[in-house]
Amino acid sequence: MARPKRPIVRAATTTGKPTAASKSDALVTAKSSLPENTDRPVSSEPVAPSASPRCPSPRLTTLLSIAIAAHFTLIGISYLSTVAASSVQADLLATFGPYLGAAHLDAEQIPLTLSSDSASEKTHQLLQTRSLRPGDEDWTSIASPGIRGGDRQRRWQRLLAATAELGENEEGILAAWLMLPIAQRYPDATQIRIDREPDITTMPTDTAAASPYRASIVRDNGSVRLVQVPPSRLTAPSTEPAHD
Amino acid sequence: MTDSTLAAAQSTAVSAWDRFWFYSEHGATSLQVVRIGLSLIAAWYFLSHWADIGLWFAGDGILATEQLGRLIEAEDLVDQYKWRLSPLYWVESTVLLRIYLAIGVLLAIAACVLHTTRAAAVLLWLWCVWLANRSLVISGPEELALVFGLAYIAIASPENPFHWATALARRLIQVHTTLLVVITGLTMLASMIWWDGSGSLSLAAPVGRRMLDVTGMLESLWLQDLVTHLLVLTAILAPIAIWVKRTRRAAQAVLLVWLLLVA
Repeated sequence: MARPKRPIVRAATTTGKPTAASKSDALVTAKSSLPENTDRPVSSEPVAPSASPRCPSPRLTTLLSIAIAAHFTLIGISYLSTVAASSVQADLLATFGPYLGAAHLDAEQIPLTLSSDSASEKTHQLLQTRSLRPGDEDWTSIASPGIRGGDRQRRWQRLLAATAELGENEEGILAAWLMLPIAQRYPDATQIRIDREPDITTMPTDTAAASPYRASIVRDNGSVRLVQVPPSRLTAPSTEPAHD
Repeated sequence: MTDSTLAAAQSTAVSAWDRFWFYSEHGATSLQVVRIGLSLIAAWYFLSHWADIGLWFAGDGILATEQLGRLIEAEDLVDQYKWRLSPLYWVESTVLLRIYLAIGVLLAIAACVLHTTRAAAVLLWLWCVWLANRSLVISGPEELALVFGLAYIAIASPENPFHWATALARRLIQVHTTLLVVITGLTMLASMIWWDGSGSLSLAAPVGRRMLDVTGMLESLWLQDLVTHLLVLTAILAPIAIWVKRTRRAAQAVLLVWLLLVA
């Protein structure tokens, strides 16, 4: 901020009352203390809002200013809470939930970071098989809608990522609710599973890992159920001696 | 400081604030371009839902209202999502859903063309908000940006480029976009990959989700590290540099390249 050209104390006389000269000084002081703003108009005299047709009334200006400050404070808190929300952030966002939620302004559950190398960012693939023989499945891929990288495919990937995460967290029932409408569209399918496609950053151990979600499709008198197939786990050999 | 000088200083501060938010310097041209651009993106947003809207939101869809409700309740997310209001939760017919999308496209065209009323812009914003609110699980940051952009455009005066509402709309778009990009950069720092140089490869690696496969260009470790650090620095510094006249053009160009790379 530029320093005032004259000492501010000269704005008042010895009697404490401003004179015409001191008012002029105050105006010069006010003009010179304005920050160098690239968007400033040629004339930098402070104009009372009500005198300018380009500005709202003083009362409306005050109300709008308060609204703007509150609005961006909430937006900032919402965006910053996408990493990890503190209890203060969570309480504030919950209090203003009707505003943020209804206007779709909150970033809840939306990762703003470009990438965090999490499993949910991998390319997911949905596969189905018609085989009934365990170990002899002939898995075929269910094509994702749209073009690669397009909006349709992006939504499909988000669904598969969410389902895979539920499967990994052993929330098979919730994953089944998401997959059931798809299973109903493939009346011959006996199992479905979601795989994560290996890419250049995938570790060999991740490649060998079991599918995050796999389920058998049980059809009974027109109703369809999905039963999650638990992943095979590595177990240590039994320590009990073999009985003859 | 005496009372009169304090009053003068306060008056100056208020004037600078008012000038920033309510003074319309530029003509309507700049906001018209933004208005048309956002309206076209909104039209595309509705059209992109056309083929799959039944698959997602119909009565037997993946995200049918009853199904979604059970999922949200089971995951204890009711408090989080109870304000995502949308009339589409009461619509289960694919035909009606497609009529909704068609109206959205018409509103987008009207918002481009009509210059005498805010009604089209306000309705377009609402139409997008309701579809975005309905798209739980499958929505992302693109809906976030589209919705706030349309909201601010709806504030602007469609017929008077010098109206204070137009100036306010322009500033809201600028400040919100700055906030979004800067915070995106800051959240990137929460992950080690944006410190150790592997962030660029991590971003490019899921080629099945990208229109272009650029992993071949990142074979050099040195280039990987450079691109990683540039992505973070650009996100944090470029939106701030745009506000400084001397660095504005360069920052705009750099930010445009950044947006194209990450999109």
